[in-house]
Order: sequence, then structure tokens, then C-alpha cells
Amino acid sequence: MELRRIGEYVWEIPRHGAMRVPGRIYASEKLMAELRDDPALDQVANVAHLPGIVGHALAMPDIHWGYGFPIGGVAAVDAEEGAISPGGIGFDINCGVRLLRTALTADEVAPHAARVADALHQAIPAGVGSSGAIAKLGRDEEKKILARGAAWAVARGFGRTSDLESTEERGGLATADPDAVSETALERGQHQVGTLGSGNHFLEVQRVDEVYDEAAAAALGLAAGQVALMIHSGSRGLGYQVCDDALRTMGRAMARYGITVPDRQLACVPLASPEGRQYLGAMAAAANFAWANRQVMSGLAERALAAALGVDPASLRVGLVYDVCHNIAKLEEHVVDGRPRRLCVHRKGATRAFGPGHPALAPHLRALGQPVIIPGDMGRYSFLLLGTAGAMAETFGTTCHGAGRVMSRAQAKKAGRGLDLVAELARRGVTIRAKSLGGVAEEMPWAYKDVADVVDVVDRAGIGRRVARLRPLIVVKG
Amino acid sequence: MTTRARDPGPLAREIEHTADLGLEVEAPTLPLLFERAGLGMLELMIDLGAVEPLERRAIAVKGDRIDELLHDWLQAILVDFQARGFAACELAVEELGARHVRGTAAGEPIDPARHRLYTEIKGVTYHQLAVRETTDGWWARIICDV
Repeated sequence: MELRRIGEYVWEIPRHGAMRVPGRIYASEKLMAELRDDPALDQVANVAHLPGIVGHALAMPDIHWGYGFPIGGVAAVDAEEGAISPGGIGFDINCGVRLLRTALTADEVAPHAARVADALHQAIPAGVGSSGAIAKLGRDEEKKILARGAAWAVARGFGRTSDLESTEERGGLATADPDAVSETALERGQHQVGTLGSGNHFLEVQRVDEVYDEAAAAALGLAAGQVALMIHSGSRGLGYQVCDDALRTMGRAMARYGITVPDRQLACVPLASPEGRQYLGAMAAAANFAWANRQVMSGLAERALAAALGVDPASLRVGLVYDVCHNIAKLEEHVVDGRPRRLCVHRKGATRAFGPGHPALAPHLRALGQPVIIPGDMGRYSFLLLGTAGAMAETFGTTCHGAGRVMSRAQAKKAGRGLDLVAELARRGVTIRAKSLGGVAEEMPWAYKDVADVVDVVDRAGIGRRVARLRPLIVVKG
Repeated sequence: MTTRARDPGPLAREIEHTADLGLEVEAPTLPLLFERAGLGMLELMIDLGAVEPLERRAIAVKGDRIDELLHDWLQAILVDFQARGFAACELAVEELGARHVRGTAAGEPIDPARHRLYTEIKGVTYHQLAVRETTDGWWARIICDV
């Protein structure tokens, strides 16, 4: 595949075959060297075939081989004439990350790490098919979650109303259509609100380890040495089923719309078609489910943390720094070739990163830009960034989402064979609790790129701005 | 025929995929391929050695193509596992036509106290999904999102 370097951190795949636009990848020379023979580059070219795609098929520096879209892939399509592709969002609709500040310091938590880890592990169901954080929901109640998102959880005492101001879309997309969600999807979700799941999902107690912009960090309520909570999870079985239902429907409907794509996982239909509208309504409902899920978990975590430390929850002064989604499609306005256009931006393993002054940001964030949370691997660190004007100009207001895998799960398990994972993490100052240590082996630090390399690229390329680095103290996984 | 998780020999082979889980399955017949693929996927999620065939459930799917049938067959097993908490340790394809598959799963409700759980599979993707007839029988490749 031909690849041209067009900037220090930008590479282009020229249009060829039936590509409608060129591909564009943000990467350093080091990251690109690891990518040269990766099927992810072919996947960028495949995404460029989507009807109505505008600008470039983009990939962030954490790009890696996915199914259909690469992970780290971004495609903006015209809202009137473009197509929606569930594979450009993924099975885990609104998989995302939230960061909560606390009034605690790392020195106050460290002596009680084992007790806090046990309490969090007990309070938040994790693992394969985890369920039961709150009683099984009736269909009416479940549909209320699909309609209202995080606000549903706040109304039930999980977190506070101010959290909604610090959540993308205030934690609920108004376009949600609960009736577009299948009975099977509802069944898969009915006992999963407030559950973490497995794989790369986690809850971490972290220490703010390094601050790059003290004023911005202070404006977000963070300073070095402070303890924060990070939660990474999504829409659980409900979202997975919404994706599967849509892929099946669209795979069959494509021919009717005269659409062909190089990979069936990229199945898509016009946004304005009945199938497109139905998916958009169901996807928004699943996104709302995910926001409710993370909101419930943060409430449960706050209570568990306070109980383990024997203090009043209010004394922890927990507050949401921000909640981002990194698997979603959203209708947004962007300037393309000097004129505003209504676009549907697919982000699969990529994070919205709106710059300062964007009207979608709550008043307390408007001067700063949107906080962007980039989880790393559990042995090293994660980052807090801010969205930039550069991201608005170049990447439809988008930046990276995480470290990106370098090893397959099987390779990671093989590399970790014979190693005491718990002891290895303890050596790094991390206390871990997990349902399945086999699952943890797949998620070990060496399975991932160094997230600092990824963040360095977005910072230098101007599509994100570093604010702080956070190191894990306690990790809870499925 | 019935394929049991405890039958000797591998059900499926894990293949390299950076982010997700890939499986390759071989079998002398198409029904056996479906049975092995189903159990091969289940054994990524649960230790099938501890699952007993205490209950039977019917599985029936319809599709236009053989790869679509395999996808839907696996997805039905996945939904039974995740939404209904049912783990199968035996699969039997009773009827396999050009546009439908009908079979039975035998297993029991998942009990986290007795059953060791591994990876959560989010969905069966269409990415590189393939079912082919070979000189020795049938071969399939499946990539699951985890």
C-alpha cells in the first residue's frame, strides 16, 4: 500500500480503486514502523469507500487492526447524503471513559489499598456476563434508561445533577428511540446496568502523577498527588445486540441502495433510509444505556470507597471531571472547505475533542476546551487532555482514545506465562482485583503500546493538549 | 450426531488477531463444523469441563448463505449464554439446509461458584468470516469482538 508522509505526524494513503477520499493517519515514525504491515492500514482504505464520506478516512495514532473499521478510525459523512455504518461504531456502543476527582490524596489511600480494592471489587459486578448491580429491570424501566441515560441514574441517587454538565451530550442523546431496540437486546441489558464487563474494561483508583498545565488542571479540580477514579465500560450486552441486529439488517438492505463495501462488517445504509433512521434511534438508546451504566458505577464506587475508608461519602467531595464516549456516531456541524456542513461523525476507538469555545461544551468548560480521557494500560499510566482548535480544523474535533494493542490476546497470554501477574503489578505499586486472572494476562502492560507515545503524537500534532498524567494505585477488572 | 465438549481432540484453533479473537474450525461434515464452532466459542468464555448436560434447549436460525447461518448459529448460542445464563457443553445439529439450521444445546445454568469464566465475547463479526469446503471436509474462520 502506498503511504506518503505529508507532515511530521501525518501520513496519507492516496485514493486508489473505489476509495472516495484519501486516508490520513496520525502517527510518529516509531508508531508507523510498527504499523507498516498491519491490516489496519487496509482498513483505513476500506473506510474511504463509505458513501458520502467527507475529507479523509482518518486514523488516530492508537490505530490497530479491528473488524471493519480499524480501531482508532474516524469517518465523517454528509448528514443528508451519507451512509451510517454500525461497524464504524462497534459492538460496544458508547464504550467510554469517565474520570472522577476526589478530595483524597494518594498518601491517605495507599495504606488502605487492599481494603479499598476489595470494597470496589465487591460493589461493582465485573467479569463475563456480570450482572446484578441493581435489581433486574422491568421492560418499562429499562426503556426509561434508554430514553434518559445518565439522568435516570442521577434521579435514583447515583452521583449528582452537576455530573451531567460534565458528560458528553449531558449523558443522554435526545434522538434515542427505545422502541427501535430489539427484544433480544433488551433481554441482554436487563440485569447489566451498573456492571463493568470484562476485556479491557476497568475501574481504577489513580494518583495524579504529573501535571503539564497547572491552570487547566486546577480549573478541572485536579492537582498533583490527588486521588481520582477512572471507569472504562460501555453499553454491555444491550449495545452489542443493537450492533448485531443492525449489521444483519443492513447487510441485506445494502443491495437495495446500490451500495457495495469491501468488508461486510462495513455494511451501511443511507442515513435517511428507514434502516438508517432505525439504527440511529437504537444506537442513541444504547449510548444512553452506557451513560446510565457508568453513572451507576460511579455512584457505587463513591459509596464503596467511603465505606472502606470509614468516612462520610460527602467528605470525599467526588465530582465528575468528564465522561467521554469513544465508540459512537454523532450528528455534528463542522467547517469543511470554508463552509459549515452537517455531518455524521463515526468514531470507533476515537474520542471527541472539541476545542475552546465550542457551543456543545458546558459553560464551565467552554474557555478550556473539552476534557479528553485517554486510558493507558494498567501497569503504567493514563492521561487527561483537552480538545483543541487544531482538532476542529483537521480531524472533525477528534483525537485518540487509548494505547492501542500491539500483541494479540493469545500472544500476551503466552508472554505472561510463568509470571506472577499480581506480584508484577504489586512491584509497580498497583493492587489488583479481578474475576479472571487469565483475562488479566491478556491486558498486561506489554500487550499495549506505551500510551505516552500515542499522546505525544496528538499533542505535537495539535489535535489534543496534555493536561495531566495519572498512575493506577488500584485496578478492578472482570 | 452430537459434539461434546469432553470429546477428545481440539474443537477449534485460536488465530492471531490484534484486538479481537479469531477461531479456525475444521470438521469432516458441515453439521460437525457448526457444533465444533459453537463449543469452540463457548470454551473461550467458560471452562466447559465443569458444565453438565442437565437441560436441553432448541436452537433454530434462518439465513440466506452458509456463512450467515454460521454467524446466526453462534450468535444464538452467545445470546443464550449472556442473556439467559445458559452454558451448553453439547451441541447437536439435527437439520441443516441451505437456508436454515435446527439443533439442540445441552448444558446448565451458569453458576459462578462452580464454573470458571474467562473472556466476554461481545459479538460474532462478519469481518473475514468464511466457511469453505476443503478436500478433507469443511473449514471456517470466525472473528469475535471481545
